[in-house]
Amino acid sequence: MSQYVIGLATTGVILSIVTLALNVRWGWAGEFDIALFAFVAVGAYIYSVFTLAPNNLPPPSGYILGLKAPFLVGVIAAIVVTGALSAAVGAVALRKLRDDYFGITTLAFALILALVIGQYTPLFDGYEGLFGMPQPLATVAPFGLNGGNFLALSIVILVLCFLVLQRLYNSPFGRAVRSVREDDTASAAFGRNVYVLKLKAYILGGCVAGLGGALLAAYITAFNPYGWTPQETFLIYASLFIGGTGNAIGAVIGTFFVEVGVQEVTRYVPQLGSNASSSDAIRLVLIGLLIIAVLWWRPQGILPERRARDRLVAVGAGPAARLPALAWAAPLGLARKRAEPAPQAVAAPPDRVPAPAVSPAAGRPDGDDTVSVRALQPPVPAPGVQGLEVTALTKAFGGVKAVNGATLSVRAGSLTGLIGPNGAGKSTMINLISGFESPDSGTIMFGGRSIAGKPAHAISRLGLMRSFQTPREWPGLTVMENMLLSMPIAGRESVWRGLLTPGRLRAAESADRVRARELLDEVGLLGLKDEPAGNLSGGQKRLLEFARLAAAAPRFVLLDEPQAGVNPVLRERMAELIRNMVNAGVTVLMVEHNLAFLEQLCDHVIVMALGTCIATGSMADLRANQDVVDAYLGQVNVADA
Amino acid sequence: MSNLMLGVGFGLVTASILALATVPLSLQMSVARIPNFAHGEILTVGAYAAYVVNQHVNNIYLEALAAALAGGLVAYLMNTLLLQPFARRKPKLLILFILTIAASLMIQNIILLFFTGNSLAYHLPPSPPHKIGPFLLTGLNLFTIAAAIVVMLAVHVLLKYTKFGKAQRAVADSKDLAQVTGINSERIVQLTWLLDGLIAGFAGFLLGVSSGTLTPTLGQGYLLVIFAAAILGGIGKPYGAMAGAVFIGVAMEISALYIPASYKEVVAFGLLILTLLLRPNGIFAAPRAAGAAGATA
Repeated sequence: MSQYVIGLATTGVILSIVTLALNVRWGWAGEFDIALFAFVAVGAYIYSVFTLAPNNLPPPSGYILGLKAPFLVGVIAAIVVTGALSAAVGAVALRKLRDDYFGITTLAFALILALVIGQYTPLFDGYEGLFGMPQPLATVAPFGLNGGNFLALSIVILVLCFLVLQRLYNSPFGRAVRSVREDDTASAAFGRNVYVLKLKAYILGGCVAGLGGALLAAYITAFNPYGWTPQETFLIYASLFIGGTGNAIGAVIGTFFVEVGVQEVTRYVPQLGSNASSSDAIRLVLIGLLIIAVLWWRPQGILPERRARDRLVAVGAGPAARLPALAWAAPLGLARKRAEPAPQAVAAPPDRVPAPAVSPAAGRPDGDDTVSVRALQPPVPAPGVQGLEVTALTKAFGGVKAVNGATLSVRAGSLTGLIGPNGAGKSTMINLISGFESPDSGTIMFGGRSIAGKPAHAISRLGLMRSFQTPREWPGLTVMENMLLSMPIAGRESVWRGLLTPGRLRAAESADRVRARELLDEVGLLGLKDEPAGNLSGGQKRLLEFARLAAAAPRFVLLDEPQAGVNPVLRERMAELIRNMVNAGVTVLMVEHNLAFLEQLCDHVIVMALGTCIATGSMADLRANQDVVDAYLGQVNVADA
Repeated sequence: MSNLMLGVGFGLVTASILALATVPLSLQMSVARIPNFAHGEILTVGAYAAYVVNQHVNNIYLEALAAALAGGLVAYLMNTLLLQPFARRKPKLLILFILTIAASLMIQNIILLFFTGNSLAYHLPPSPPHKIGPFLLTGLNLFTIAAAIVVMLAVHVLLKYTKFGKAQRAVADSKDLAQVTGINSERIVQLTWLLDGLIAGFAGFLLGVSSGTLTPTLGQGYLLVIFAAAILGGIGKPYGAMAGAVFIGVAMEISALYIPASYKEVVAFGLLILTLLLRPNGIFAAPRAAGAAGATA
């Protein structure tokens, strides 16, 4: 190989590592980070000042450190420092910013860094930059003389990097990060600390970018602030879009295409007149066009993100031993069979225990790859039933007091309805209880502790979960992944465990997968388990939501209009699912406009109007209450007539 | 003290240019709702169009006109050919943002292709500084400030007293709602882009005059300062944008008296980050950060 080809290949390999870094931030976590190349630059500078000889430049020139450290020390230092810098930048920028403002913030950060590094010469010698960094293995056989050794070393590092990132991508941690990209509200509702997950992905991406920067400095043996502009970051974005966002192999292919291929092709474009930059200009116009074309015709890129395959790993002990106590979903299969005569089911005693073994797959078209474990599923009592006490709760948006001194209580183990005219503050109430809004004043007690103002994910982890008016699934992830993400986390989403003991994690997860298949089978979605959840119909999404709530095994569920947009047949099914939830000992508070449905299900209903709770009681009591009729029921009855 | 007043004087010139560049961005971002990364390039296009005219005639009004027209054309085409077709597919906001980045890359490099990367300069008559009150300003400085005031007044009249302004506010509030009440939302968005380009192109000319040299990255280098002013003033608030521009412009020029002038952009970027973190809806809005929960309603 000629030195020229080796040079091209080395550039492609090193920039592939940078694209993998972007793939973590943008591909996994959906963070629109424009500062990427600033982190590459920091990695390059840190590597340089660690490996260079002590500074003896005359002032005002100069640089810090100058440790003459070996290659590996320089690389590790680069990774550590860029990781730490990512933590600092991410900790600030990832706080409650809109996606585009996050991008602008990172750009501002990158430009500040560029200005400071360029202007403040004692740091990295300003715009002069650093040069003369040692290239490892430069003079050793067999290919040392024309850079072959370094190419080999870069390839080894790229492969290692690729393997490590793939392992994390497929780990529960990677899945949780991808869930944040798909719908961070849903992630918070199922107990994920969105901020921490985003920050971890940002730091991980920063470490990889720093590694790429260190290699770049070692390869070029010189680095200055002119070598990195926001434009460099956009070229990496172009590589990732073209190769396939979220696909690591695509990222490498895209990098070689954009950073090597397009570059080489445009090199042969003759220079226009005296314009020395003409081929560069043509190259960048071309890349701009390519970005647009890819986003228009093939937004998923050459190699789309791989869909996670659902596989079971054989476990010695068998799944039954560690099945979590998920009681209320067990009766679903039974309930479906007796769904026809709905009314008398209301009278079913709450301690009714369903017969566990019913032939499940019978007559079901999607039962082909079911694992027959239904018999292993004993009816288990729910773990600690809990009620809810809300006192004098207030929340204002600007001048509108959406919730204005509302007080309500939900008895443990009950199924309570929450009704009221539009604008009564029901949805705000749900948001306040579940932690998606923080109250201005008042208390919320759940299971003996105050949860007012706690973040949504913390409340969810206490076992108080919610549904949404429009079901919120993670659309780009498969139905099975949606189920797994809804299961209790139990420490599995640790980065280190994902990295060091993936086999044990997979084995531990097998029980979850069995359980998930079972629950999907109950709601008739098993045949779709490997489909992206976003492709499901509205009704199927609703069923998936119930299956996910079942998987999460909450103690208290807030249902926000579970009937919205559901057809009458499914409606009966929903009623059964809700009833079974309560029978299994879960406390339910349900916002609903369908009064007949409420009357059929709830023994107790709370009425809200103008931000306060004006009455509670059975539907019969409420009909007799003039305030309630004035505020809500009267209008509905007229409309119904 | 006199130094400080000089700084304020330069600050007013900077602020005038900044206001002309910021108000259209703020309008566009409230009506078309696209964070436009290519906004800087519209300024650059204006500056280069004025340069072309300047090569032939030396008339500041013709140059300004050419800058405005070129900017308007580019912004209009960018919306019609690129953003609107994508917007009809209802993509995520970030996809539109990324498209404007691609547009920025292309426009900047097309300019590089035709005008090379060399610094160019207008041939303008010498404009000696006058002492006006405590300030020391050239005729061009005065032209800049006067032009900014005239354009701002015109924008005020347009938004407040014309049907277009009313429709624009309606579309900014809710595109779909405006559509069903008989406003052609797409047309309003299109016209907003045109207006955006006209003003920004003109601002580009003044930026070129004030910085003395033209390079293909002229506007891009200014982009974040514009974003800082727009976000500080609150997106969609033209008067807020003006106030934000004055604040940022004066802050940058005054800071240049106390810290090395090359760091003055750091001041603007720092203010941008602080605003985004503390008052993402601008300093004139209540400090409530837009939380994720809004989406659950």
